[in-house]
Amino acid sequence: MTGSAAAAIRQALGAYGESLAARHLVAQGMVVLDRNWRCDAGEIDLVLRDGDVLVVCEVKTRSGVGCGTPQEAVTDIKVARLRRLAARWLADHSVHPRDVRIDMVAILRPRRGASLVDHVRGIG
Amino acid sequence: MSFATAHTISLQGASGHLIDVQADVSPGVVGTTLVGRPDVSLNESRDRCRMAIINSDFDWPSTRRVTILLSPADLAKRGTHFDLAIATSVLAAAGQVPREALERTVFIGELTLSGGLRSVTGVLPMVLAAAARGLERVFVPEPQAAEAAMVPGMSVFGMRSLGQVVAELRGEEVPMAAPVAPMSGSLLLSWRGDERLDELDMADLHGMTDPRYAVEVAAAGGHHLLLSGPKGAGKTTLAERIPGLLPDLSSEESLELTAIHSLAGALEPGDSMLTRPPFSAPHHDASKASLIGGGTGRVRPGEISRAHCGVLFLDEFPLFRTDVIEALRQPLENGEVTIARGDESATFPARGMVVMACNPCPCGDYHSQASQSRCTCSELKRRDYRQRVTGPISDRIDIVRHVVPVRPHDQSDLFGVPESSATVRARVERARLRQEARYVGCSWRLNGQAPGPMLSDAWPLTDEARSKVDGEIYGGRLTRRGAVRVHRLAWTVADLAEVDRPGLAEVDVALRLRSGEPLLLTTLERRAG
Repeated sequence: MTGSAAAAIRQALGAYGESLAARHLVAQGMVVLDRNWRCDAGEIDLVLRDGDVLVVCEVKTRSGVGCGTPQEAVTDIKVARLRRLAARWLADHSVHPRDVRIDMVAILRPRRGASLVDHVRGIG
Repeated sequence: MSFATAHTISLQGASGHLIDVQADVSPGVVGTTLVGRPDVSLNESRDRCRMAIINSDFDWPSTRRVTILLSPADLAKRGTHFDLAIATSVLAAAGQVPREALERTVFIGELTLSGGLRSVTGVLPMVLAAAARGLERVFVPEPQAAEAAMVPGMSVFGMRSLGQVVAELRGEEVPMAAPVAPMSGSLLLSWRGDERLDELDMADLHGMTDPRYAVEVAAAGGHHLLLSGPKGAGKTTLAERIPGLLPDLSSEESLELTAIHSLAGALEPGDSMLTRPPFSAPHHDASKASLIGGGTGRVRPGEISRAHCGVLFLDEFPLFRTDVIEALRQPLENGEVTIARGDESATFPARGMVVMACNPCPCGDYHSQASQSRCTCSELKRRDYRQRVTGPISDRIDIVRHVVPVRPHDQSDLFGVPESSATVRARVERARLRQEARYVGCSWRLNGQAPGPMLSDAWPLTDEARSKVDGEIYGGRLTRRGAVRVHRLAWTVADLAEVDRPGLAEVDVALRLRSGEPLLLTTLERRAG
């Protein structure tokens, strides 16, 4: 497998996880406002509205736990970056939510069987 | 609810505090935090516990945030024995161990990365503290099960690994596990050490009738003793035979002493309860921390506490460092040592007899009657040397004895064959029984420990004896503290002679013992008869 092929598989897994996460959150009554929003400081996987709260969501997808669980991949540093990105997103879109929350969706996609979705609210 | 509590004990000196180890496992940024004033070795416990749980084939909650609180949170905690409580509380919070199984149970032990349970210091005092708090079960490393079992009323589980502990808590069959090496390194060299003392007997000592009697009084009442005399006079010989005159420890004393040795990390895994009075003879180069207690990190008991209920022998006393000599004041007076640090204060019992030996001068020949040797010290050196013994310490010494070398024609003993240690011990035991009966319900056991005001109220001297002591005080030959010591000594002399109340004769002996004057032949004769 060439390097670009591996990268393509990784991207496909990430895209699969993000759409699965979006469906999971919409099913809980949230509204997707933005997907894969980028700026020079980084990228937000999902921006949603949960009632009058703005939710910035990080999606982590893994096909195994050999290198740790998807939850473990979201560190305090990443949470701090998401918080900065949330401020940038708000500045770009003149939206005034009552509150801003940072969530995480961890998806484990085993070789067989259904994917495991773990939605963790308010991690930062 | 993903929350569980396990119990362990944190030691401050010889007293233990019950610690609740609370673990919470809930969603959030993945990580483990340990709060509640842990020290460095305790903070490392997070990593030890995580790997021990994973390597014991249990699940560490690696998708959850783990918060561990050591409560009460204001108490500084140190040590590695918290591992087992932390690991079990996390497993219970994660639902892998029934939460109820942790109730009324204490967990003590350090974990290895493979999940083995390693020994720690201070198990006995921890279990004693746990029993005092009404806890009923204790899990300890297997090599220390015997130590924990010394505490009555505790059910003790000696375990080799985390796997075994979890199986026991779940009510499953306990799996096999490899034995874990005991904590203390076994001695690389074995020497005759303490066994040498067992072979020593008073029957070997010819002559020395006067110091022999002084030693007997000191042993009977637990009095501090100073032996002075030229080199080779037999001061060390005499001091080393004192433990042989002491009766076996009571179960209470035995528990206290074993607990102190456990704190000092001096208890070997095979050791049972210490039942014989200890003898400790530190070298005169000893530091204050080693003699009194202290040290970096955890406060450890010193030699004076390790000689609790026994004998601390300070040979060449004036050569000890001045700060060490000064630090002896509190234990000599109160029978305990308190070491205060910034955020903690540790108290250890130190109710041993202190026996000091010194020469009359630095070279040791002054006053020597051996014609070959003459003192070569200057008067100034002699005075400096003597000054180290006098002063505040000498006021706290009960008995002062001058040991003179026995001359060949003295070998024929004044009162027949010298008595054996067993004979003297029998008398000491009888005298101690009398004291026990008198001080029943009191916090002290021996005359040497009885507080002065209590003595003069409840167990006074006869009137004429009292006025004799008062006369000495007015005459400036005795301080008030000295008078208390004479009072205590008089009781011991009375107990040895089986007299019901110390009178003039006993006080006279006590005054002579304290001042260092030779005893009257009649005193010694009466005893022999």
